[in-house]
Amino acid sequence: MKKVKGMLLLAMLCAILPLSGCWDAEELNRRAVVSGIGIDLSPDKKDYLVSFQVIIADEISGKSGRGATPTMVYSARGRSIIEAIRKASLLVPRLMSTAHVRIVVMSEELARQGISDILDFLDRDSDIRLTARIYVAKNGVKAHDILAGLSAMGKISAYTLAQKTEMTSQEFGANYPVEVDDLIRDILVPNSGPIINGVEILGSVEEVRKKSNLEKTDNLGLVRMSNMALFKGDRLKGWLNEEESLGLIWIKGILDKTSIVITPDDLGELSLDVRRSKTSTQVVLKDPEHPVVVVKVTAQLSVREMNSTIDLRDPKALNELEVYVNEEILKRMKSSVKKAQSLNCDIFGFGQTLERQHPKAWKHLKGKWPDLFPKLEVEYHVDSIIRNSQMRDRSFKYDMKKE
Amino acid sequence: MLRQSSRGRSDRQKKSNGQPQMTGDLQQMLERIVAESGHSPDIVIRHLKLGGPVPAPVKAAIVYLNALSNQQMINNFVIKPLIGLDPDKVNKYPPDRLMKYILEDALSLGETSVVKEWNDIMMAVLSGDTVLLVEGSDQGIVSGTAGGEWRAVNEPTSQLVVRGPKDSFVESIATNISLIRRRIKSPDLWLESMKIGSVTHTHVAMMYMKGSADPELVAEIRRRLKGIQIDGVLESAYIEEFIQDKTITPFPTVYNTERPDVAAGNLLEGRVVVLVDGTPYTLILPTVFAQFLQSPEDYAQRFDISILMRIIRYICFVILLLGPAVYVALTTFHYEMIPTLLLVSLMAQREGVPFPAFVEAIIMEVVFEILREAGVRMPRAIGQTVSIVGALILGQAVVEAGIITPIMVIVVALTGIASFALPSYNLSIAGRLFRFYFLFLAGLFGFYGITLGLIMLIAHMNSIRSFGVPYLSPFSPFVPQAQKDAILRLPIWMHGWKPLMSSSQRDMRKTGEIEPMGAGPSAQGQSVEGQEGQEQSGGGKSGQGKKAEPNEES
Repeated sequence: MKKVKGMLLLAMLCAILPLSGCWDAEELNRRAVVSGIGIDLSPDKKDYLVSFQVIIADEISGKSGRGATPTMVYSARGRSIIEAIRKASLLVPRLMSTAHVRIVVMSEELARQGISDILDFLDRDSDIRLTARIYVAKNGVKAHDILAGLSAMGKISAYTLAQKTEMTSQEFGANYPVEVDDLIRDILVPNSGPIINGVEILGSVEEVRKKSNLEKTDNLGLVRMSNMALFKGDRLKGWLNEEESLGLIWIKGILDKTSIVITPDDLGELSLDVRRSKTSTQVVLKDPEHPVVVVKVTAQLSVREMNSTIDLRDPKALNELEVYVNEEILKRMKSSVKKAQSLNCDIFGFGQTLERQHPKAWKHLKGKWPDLFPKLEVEYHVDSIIRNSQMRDRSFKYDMKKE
Repeated sequence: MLRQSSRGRSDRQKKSNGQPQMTGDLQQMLERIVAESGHSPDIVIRHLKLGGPVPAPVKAAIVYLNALSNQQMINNFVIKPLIGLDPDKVNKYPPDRLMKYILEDALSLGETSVVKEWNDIMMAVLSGDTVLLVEGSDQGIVSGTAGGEWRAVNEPTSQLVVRGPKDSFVESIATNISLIRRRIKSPDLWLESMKIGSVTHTHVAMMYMKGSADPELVAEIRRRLKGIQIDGVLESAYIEEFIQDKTITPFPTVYNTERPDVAAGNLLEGRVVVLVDGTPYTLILPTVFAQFLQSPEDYAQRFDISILMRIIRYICFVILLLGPAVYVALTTFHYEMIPTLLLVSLMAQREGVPFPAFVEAIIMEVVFEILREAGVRMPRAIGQTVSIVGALILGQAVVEAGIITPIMVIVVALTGIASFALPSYNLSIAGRLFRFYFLFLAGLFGFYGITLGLIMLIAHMNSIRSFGVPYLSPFSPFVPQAQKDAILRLPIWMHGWKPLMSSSQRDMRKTGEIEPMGAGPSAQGQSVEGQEGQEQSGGGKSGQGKKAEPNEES
């Protein structure tokens, strides 16, 4: 009996084998690995023009490089993204493999028309990762041009762009990495929408794709991170400026590091780094019809540069400086909220905060939220502390003044 | 060859059965010895006249094999006293009384005995002992003068350690027993000895610690050893194949060692050691998988360092099994799992290489096996050249010619080195076999295939028993107290010399989980319960079910 069972088990195991199989086996030298996808509208605005940045591995690390560019950009036209990918086989001799796509760029034109069609593809496709970064090409630059750009550092420019995003979000804080799954999550929030990083080309659009551009120390063209685009639903509604971007990130509480320049009255200029910052958002319902959002920010800063003779050994002086810092932070957040309210787009997720903290009230307010949000009252409590002043307390200018 | 010798054996048996007894006629007996050994020139017959030049000296003769006996011992302790016998007594005593007189008063040797059977006489001569035959007596006196040349005790050649005892077993079983006895001076160390091999009459000994070793296990091993029917035993592996549990598996189920310290350690842990004359490799049983990844060095180094080394060995075993398979699966099925920059580098390497990764892996693995096989049996002077030509020139040329990618060479080399990092040679052979199995699965089905293969492998390993002990014990079944010396090696004062494996085994016997296994061919009559044990452990591997069939028929 046991033997029969064993044989049966074996037969069942054998039956599993052909269920899968080598359908997805493909040798590496028969694959074209795509590092970035760019999506533009065709001139007649009916079709998509999809561009693929394909890695030419030979040129990057092989011995048999021919001195060509490390990446190539191929474009194909199609009613849908997948049709364009299939059509790309007219141009590319190898299997388009999109699992290593790091960036997806779309043109502003497309973004204004709506991006939900694209998102379904990015969400559904089994190869493309949900961690791919999303960008909108600003100032009329085509997504194709962004992908065609070459970079001096890092041979695959799509990855260079992704690294730029990471670096600037760490160091300056006016951008933050936005991935496909963030996008899909944000697009579903009512009366809100995603925020997407902008990207633009500094200098000549024609030069940035040439190899000769890399032969000069100051590039004639350069792909640059830009401010963030504000979407409502799946459509681009407007662009935040730098101050508004910083304010948004501060309210969202995802700030890593940034710098603040303050000019206390008559005392010169001081630059401070934000080392650590914490934001908490609460919705207070004193009046059930008119919720008030309270944003509390505590920031720790360090003095990095001063063109001033303030005596930093004096705690009082520090306290005075902190007041200026608070004002500056407040200004950023206010400008950001103002912009969002003017476009009636709840990019901060105040609605979600309300839902989480007062679920019952939210049921009642949900329908009125589009009317409420533009007039929403926001209170700010900013508390900043200057923790250190690097290697010096008083500037040498303090001694100069004394003499 | 063995068949021929078996025919010879049956002839001899017939002859000796015809005339089993010894006659008192000295001349006839000597002629018979010479005739039966085919007039071998190395049989020495020394005629003596006992009692010196008295009126009627008694004729006698001693017989020995000159290469196997210790000549000096024969001269000093056999011939000398015989020549100096008291003539009066020699004349006065009848032959049987004379024999007793010689045995008790004359021979100054420790090992002496009186034999009456003709076969025993022949056996004694062929073992290097000296036989004394006296005219008129139907008995012979055997003096233990076995000697001759043996290799001296040297450093072990296959199981080396940096720190630890440097002696190793040799081909002489007496020396080997002494090496163990010297380490364990305890009356509890019991020795049982038997002769196996109807032609070779090889001396096989079984040692165990009375009290630590499970008596049932000892009885089972004794039963299996006694059941062996074979013409010749030239290596302990002959015994191993007869007594191991009958499962079809490439995994070794009997541990072997040439190190006396390992044998002694295992004795203390309650295992049984089987020594075979003529080979330095002794068998240790029962064994478990974890034992093959332990080295005697583990107990000579600090415990934390030993734990690290053991973990590295387990990693090596995994690399050995899965190295090329994972590479093939990654590059042909799961390119998305490779970090991008590594992928770019791999793609650049694969550019212009003609074979698919799977074929490439097979080629390189086979080349590696060829190199290894060629290197093992080369004389030492040439062995160097083989490894240089193989590793350096072939490896480099094959990459420069664009036939194989450099990463494949790295993977195969890593796998090869990992196979040498395992302390046990026969486990690494098993691992190398399974490496091909995984390579095929990976080439056909990617990680899915590797996963299925691993499930099968673990099921198979769970089905293996070594003398009733589950092969994966103490991991499966999980024996908490044995974890102190499995992957981990806690400080020795924490686990002491408790018989870990066998105690767990005893516990399991109590719960009725383990039944004794069917032994060699002779044990078929008794192996009804053994079959049940096999059936119970079956299910993991198809081969096992098949194996049980012939038993059922018999």
